[in-house]
Amino acid sequence: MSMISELFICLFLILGGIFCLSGSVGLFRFPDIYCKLQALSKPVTLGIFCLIIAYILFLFYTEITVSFKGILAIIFLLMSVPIGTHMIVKAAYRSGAPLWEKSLMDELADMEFHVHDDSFQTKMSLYSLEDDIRRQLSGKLPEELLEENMEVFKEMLTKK
Amino acid sequence: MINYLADYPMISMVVNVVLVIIGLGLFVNLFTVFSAKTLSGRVVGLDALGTQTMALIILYAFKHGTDLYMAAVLVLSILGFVTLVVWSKYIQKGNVVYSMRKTTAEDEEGGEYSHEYDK
Repeated sequence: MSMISELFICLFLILGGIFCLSGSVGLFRFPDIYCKLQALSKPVTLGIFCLIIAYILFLFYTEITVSFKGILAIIFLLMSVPIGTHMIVKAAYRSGAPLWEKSLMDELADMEFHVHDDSFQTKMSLYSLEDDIRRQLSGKLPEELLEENMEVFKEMLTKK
Repeated sequence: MINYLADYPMISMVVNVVLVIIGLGLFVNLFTVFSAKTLSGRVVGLDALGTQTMALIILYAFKHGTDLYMAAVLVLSILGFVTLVVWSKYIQKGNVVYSMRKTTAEDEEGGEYSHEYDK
């Protein structure tokens, strides 16, 4: 192995270590779950990528193998990490995790709903009603059918 | 233990230093898990712990010079993804396996969802 490739591997290793440490310090220091996800999804996974790349390069330069499993791990992490972090932040928002007090706006407030809102139950029941009616009419939705079902709709509304 | 890195002293030194750095990161993550204010904050800290365990395994694999440790990294990444998904479901609904229809408080009391279109 030449000197330059060794230096290259060391560069990737040090980058990976710095990214991992800064990611975990960011997780500790950020005030808010929505800011913490920033520190989870980007620096920590970037550190892992750097380490895996260094490992692949090491195995390649020492002529042991070409590590396909490493490439597979990188591809899988690239796919799974954004999905997982988005799922967990959506769950946190829906379970009513508080925003940081200095955050400027809550742009999802109109579309989504916190559990602690008063309107939560009524919104949910309205959504389920809409689903039921759609399923009943199975796609063909002229206005006559809607008028026929209007009484049922009103009944269910008053029941809720 | 055969130290494969004995032929490459510079890489060996850097690997040891990065091991110490990632150990520090794991320690900071433990503080994150203990000091988080919400459940999702704790879950995020635990996920970062899992990710950095993968980093430790990679660095350990440097000393052996085989490809086999990559399988462990793959399995750990799959496990981390599954735990994140399951925790997010649990945080949303308080339940992991649920039908999509059960949305209102009335249903959570146990009554089966019944609509009376037949009347």
